[in-house]
Amino acid sequence: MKKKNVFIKGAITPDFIANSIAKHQTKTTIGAHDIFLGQVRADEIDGKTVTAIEYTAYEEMANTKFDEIREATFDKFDLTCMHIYHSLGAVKAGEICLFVFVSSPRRKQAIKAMEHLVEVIKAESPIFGKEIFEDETHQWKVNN
Amino acid sequence: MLVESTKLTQETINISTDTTTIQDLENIVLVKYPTLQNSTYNIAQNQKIADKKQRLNNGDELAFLPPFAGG
Repeated sequence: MKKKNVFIKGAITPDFIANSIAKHQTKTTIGAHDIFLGQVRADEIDGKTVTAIEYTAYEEMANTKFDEIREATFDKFDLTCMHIYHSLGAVKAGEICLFVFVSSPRRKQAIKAMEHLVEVIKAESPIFGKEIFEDETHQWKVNN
Repeated sequence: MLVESTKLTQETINISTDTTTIQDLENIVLVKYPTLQNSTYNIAQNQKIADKKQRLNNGDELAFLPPFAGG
């Protein structure tokens, strides 16, 4: 199976998300979608505000990992389809950096699958984030 | 993070037959780049997070990965 590429350069736009929803209207066995959007937060750290996060990744490993995550999630939940997108490069505060989209015949499976997916993505995907402050200094973000 | 610390994105390290595990190789790298001792990282062997007791094979790709921050 050809590996899917999860990565998108820069922020994930609302248009991209809307188009993705529209593409599912032909799949009429679906009764419930669940969408998770990760947005860059303007955290204040030691008196300085985060203006953007610059994402990098160990891309090959990350795409393999996302394939494994996708497969394991399909095995565990009754899903019709699943899409994961993550930004690379700079994403400004307020913009979207993660878009996860699951669809199922029924809502409970979609909601459970989403909670599982987001946690696994955060814990296991080799993606790194540099938080850029307004004075152009930076610090490295750590998921917790 | 680790790139800033070592000024390096990749390097090929030739090892002797005494270097048999990931731990052995990590020791060599830490001597070469002592600033890494202050860093948090996991090591991936051929793109899978590996236990340090794991044995090295010819042509392995090892990656020192700082904490993940996706999402």
